[in-house]
Amino acid sequence: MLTQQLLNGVLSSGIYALYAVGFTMIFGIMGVLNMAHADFGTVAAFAVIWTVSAGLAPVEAVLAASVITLLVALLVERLAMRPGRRFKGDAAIEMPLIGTIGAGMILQNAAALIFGNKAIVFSFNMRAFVRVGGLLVSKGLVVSLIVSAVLLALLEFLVNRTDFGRQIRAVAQNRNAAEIMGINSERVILVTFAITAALAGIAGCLVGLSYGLVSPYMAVSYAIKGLVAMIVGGVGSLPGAVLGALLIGVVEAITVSQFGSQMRDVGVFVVLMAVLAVRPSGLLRVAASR
Amino acid sequence: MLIEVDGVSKRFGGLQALDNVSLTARTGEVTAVIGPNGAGKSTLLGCLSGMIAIDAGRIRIDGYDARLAPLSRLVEVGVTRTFQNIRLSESLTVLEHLRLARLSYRRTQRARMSGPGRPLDQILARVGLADVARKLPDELSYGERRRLEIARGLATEPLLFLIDEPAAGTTPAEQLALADLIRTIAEDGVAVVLVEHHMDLVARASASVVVLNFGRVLTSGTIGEIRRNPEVIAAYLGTTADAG
Repeated sequence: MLTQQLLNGVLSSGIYALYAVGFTMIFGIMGVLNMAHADFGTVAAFAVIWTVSAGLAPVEAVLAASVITLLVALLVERLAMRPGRRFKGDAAIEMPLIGTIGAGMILQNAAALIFGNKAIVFSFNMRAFVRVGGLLVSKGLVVSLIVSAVLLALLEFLVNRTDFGRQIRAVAQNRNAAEIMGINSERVILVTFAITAALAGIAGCLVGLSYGLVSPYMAVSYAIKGLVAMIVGGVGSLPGAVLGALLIGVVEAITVSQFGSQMRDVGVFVVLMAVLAVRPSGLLRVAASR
Repeated sequence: MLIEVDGVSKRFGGLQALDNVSLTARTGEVTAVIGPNGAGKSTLLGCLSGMIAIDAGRIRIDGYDARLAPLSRLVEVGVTRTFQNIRLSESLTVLEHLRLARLSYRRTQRARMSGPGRPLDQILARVGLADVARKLPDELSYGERRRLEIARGLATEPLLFLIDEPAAGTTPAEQLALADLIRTIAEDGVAVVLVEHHMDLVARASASVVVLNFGRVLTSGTIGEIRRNPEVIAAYLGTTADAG
């Protein structure tokens, strides 16, 4: 039983990690939280449902949904985040925080208005289970974990091994220092934002693929887990976000098995409190600052 | 390159940071700007680098009016600077700083006209950072961090180099080496504007000196003339320069 729950936790952590790295990358480069980040996953999932129902072939539908998600994300950045970046006053951090909370609510309610406020069936699903050595393994979650692992490996390569990744790190560390090297920090921030939106979009579709259903309000739950994973792992650290997501996934699965699904998020927050009490900078913060 | 600052003024609220300041800097020369704390030296560098908008006057570079622009555009026009409080990217190695700066230079029209620039290992050797090329900034001494800012600027193949208090926090031996480095940068065909407190460094590096006091040009001339000027001695040299 415990082994089964541990397996479930590890498998679901891939989706959490995709959300968490997006949160941490945006915070790292902009110094503010994008509270609408997980909503880009919802937008992508519902955009796929819409484009498929409109009769597009699967590949075309996914491409069209990607464009829709990217446009929505860039609109949120433009309206809710950029003004705070250009504002030099005391509320430069609070403005995008509140702005993106508002943007997230607008996106959730827009989805509810268009598609109804109940969970609906996703256009593609892999809800089947296979039995491996006495354990039930969700095909969808295995695919999610593999897709997440590949994307996270690519992201790690991008950030640490490419010139664009060096530019991201330079802007995240000190914008003046980056700009005097000729780096257009606004462009780097926008591209990074688009990358994180794409990761959230893929995560949202993996939720639909794995569980078969998507809800207009599902972003709230994933935002909490992504944010907690980011803080537990160490804000600004990509490996930390992945480690945090793994921990959250496992703790959540064990909590559900021991205390029932209504206690799902309690275990997650207990882990958060424990890490904050023992190591406030997060598990991998020191390594990340290098 | 000829940099003409003509009657430039800048006010921050109730503070007149620059008041009708004029000076000239030329390729091949180090023009030092000295003055007590709060004299407006760093504000002047901010205006020259397009970071601070001027209220009145003109700044012309080779006859063209300089405009307020993002720092990232400076590489295109051949201007670079260091900062009074060192600004580095702590997660990039010494060599990575230079590589990114060079990458930006190579995308400019200047690079197409003038070539790819001198090899980065030569720049590192010149500023004495060859042995620490793979280190991160927080593994460097204070003086090395200052020189990394200069090396980063050199990697953009500048025509105008604005250097803000490079000797702050360095040892006397490092200051002499810095003076020689800055002088040779100018001799290689760069116009250098140097803001500095340490008079020995200024004397060793600079051909001409402009003295600012309360945002105004008190006087200008060679280092010998400046050192003999009674107004300068009263306003500045008799007090703060003793420490440097």
